[in-house]
Amino acid sequence: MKRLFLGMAVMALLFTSCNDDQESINIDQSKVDMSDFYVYTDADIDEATRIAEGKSKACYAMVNLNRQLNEDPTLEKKMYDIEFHTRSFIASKKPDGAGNGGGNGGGDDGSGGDDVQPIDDGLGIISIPVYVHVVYSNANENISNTQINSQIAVLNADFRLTNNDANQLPSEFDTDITDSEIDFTLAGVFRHADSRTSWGTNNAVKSAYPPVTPSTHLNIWVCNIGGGILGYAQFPGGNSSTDGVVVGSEYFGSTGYVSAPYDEGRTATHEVGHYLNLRHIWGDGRCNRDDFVVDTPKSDAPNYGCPSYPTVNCRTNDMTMNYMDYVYDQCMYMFSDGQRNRMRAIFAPGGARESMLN
Amino acid sequence: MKYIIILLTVFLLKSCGNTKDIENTKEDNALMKIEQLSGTYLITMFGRVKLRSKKLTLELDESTNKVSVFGGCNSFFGTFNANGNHITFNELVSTRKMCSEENMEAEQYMMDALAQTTRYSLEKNILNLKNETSSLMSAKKVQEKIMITYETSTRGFYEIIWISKDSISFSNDRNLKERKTSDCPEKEWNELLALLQNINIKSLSELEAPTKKHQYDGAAMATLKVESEGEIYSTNIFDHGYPPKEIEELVNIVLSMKKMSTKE
Repeated sequence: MKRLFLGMAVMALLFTSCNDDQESINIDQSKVDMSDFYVYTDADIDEATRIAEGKSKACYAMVNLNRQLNEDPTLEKKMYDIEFHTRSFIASKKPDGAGNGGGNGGGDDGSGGDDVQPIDDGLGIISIPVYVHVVYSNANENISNTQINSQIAVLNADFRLTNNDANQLPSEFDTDITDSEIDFTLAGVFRHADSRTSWGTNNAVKSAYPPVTPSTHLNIWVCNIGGGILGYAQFPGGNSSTDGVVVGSEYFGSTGYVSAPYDEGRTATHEVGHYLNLRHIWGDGRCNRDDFVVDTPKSDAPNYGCPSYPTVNCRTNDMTMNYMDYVYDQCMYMFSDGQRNRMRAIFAPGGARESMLN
Repeated sequence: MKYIIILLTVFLLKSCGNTKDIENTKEDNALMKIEQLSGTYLITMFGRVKLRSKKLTLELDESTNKVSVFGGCNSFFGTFNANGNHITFNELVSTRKMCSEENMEAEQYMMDALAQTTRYSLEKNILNLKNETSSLMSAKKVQEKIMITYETSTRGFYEIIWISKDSISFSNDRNLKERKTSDCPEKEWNELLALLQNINIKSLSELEAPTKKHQYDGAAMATLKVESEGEIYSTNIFDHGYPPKEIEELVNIVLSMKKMSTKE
């Protein structure tokens, strides 16, 4: 643990010194604790330790200095800035003394009972227009408009808390379930016949069929991915030419060519959660890794299938029914207030998806 | 109760004769590279005489070059130098307990044999200690149980592969109820062992994953575990298909072995 704290302290120090020139957001910056932020997971701590030992020198230090990145090297800086903005914005809308939106804001006592209020961010109902690109190599994959519309309906239900399966929520999470006040409208469907039968997760489908106005529209590609992958997303801050989410044809929508137990449209809900800056609910790491949301209990691994309640990990009951876990479609049915605030913050002035509101 | 520790100075015997050991072939060399010298051996033969006792042991540690021998009553400790198929034992120190005459004789033989040893072979876990002309002692490696486990998981997919010397098994069932097992091919197993030698398995948990695609569902999460001498060493989570470079070859062999096993 000592090493971990040291690592975090060093990271905090580095970030502070690196971001002196950051344009100031309307809040006392010293209140924004970024010490737990990460892009990469567990190995980061080791890297931070190396930096602490003087074996690596750099100012901008999103702790992967010696790593061969095959991704955009500026991405981590962007993600850091987005995280900083998110926390600053959420904190600025809270009464004084409340913690920031991050995992250190009082969420470390392990009780899992931390409540977050939906903040009044002044953004109203956020409407996201959606383009769907259907890329098919056979008739099944050329999914019907009915199937596409069923997915849009599921997104609207899930993000507006009108989904009819939310009534099974354990009372422990009564104060956490939320209406994120984000809705979706279908703006257009593009259909592409292509002989390629599986597209993988390296954005090949986006290169073949580029996104349409990704700064103002959510682009969703529907195709066969392969490799057991149901869908994949891109966090805000990534390259605009690959911005959007990809969902396997059989896991898109709730009717038509769909395959149980991923046949209720929740794969898209989960991926759009990532697209709107949500992390996996277990923080992609051990108990000490957070998803940067205070009202989601800590956990150290995904839950699968249809877990019974309570499922205890890291000494708290997991929120297994959260869309950002890995359970079956029929067993996930909520976002939390903290997740709502976090998603909406990227639409605030200076946020990564601010341009979508215009 | 008191052991008197005495130092036995060992004179290395330089052979005058120039007889070539006919067993010293290239094949021998290749096998030695694959089979790890470190380990615990049960001494089975003195020269050409089979031993009835099953408690005489020899322990070699290549990382420290230390040897320890249990002769049934007393123990010896010292160092060794192995190079190619040459080996010498030096600075042997013995505990000195009074033991049965039979035992003392055996210990004296072992001490002498180690002092005279200049060569060795290690093939199929049988260690042969030799001088230039003949075999002095044979020993069989006590097989430590090594198990390699590769597990990969994402929301829509699960697979676990177990590989040991005897078998390769896998399951796509998270509850591990259904599993398929087949024989472990020897050639690939030896390749795995050779690769494991080049990896410090105790530092598996420190390897850095080159990518984190699983954070946005772009890859399944994977871990590699190695169980050795009752300890389990595990990597952190990395992306399936993008292992840390230190274990990339190992992971590729594991995956191809699993593929092979499904074809049979």
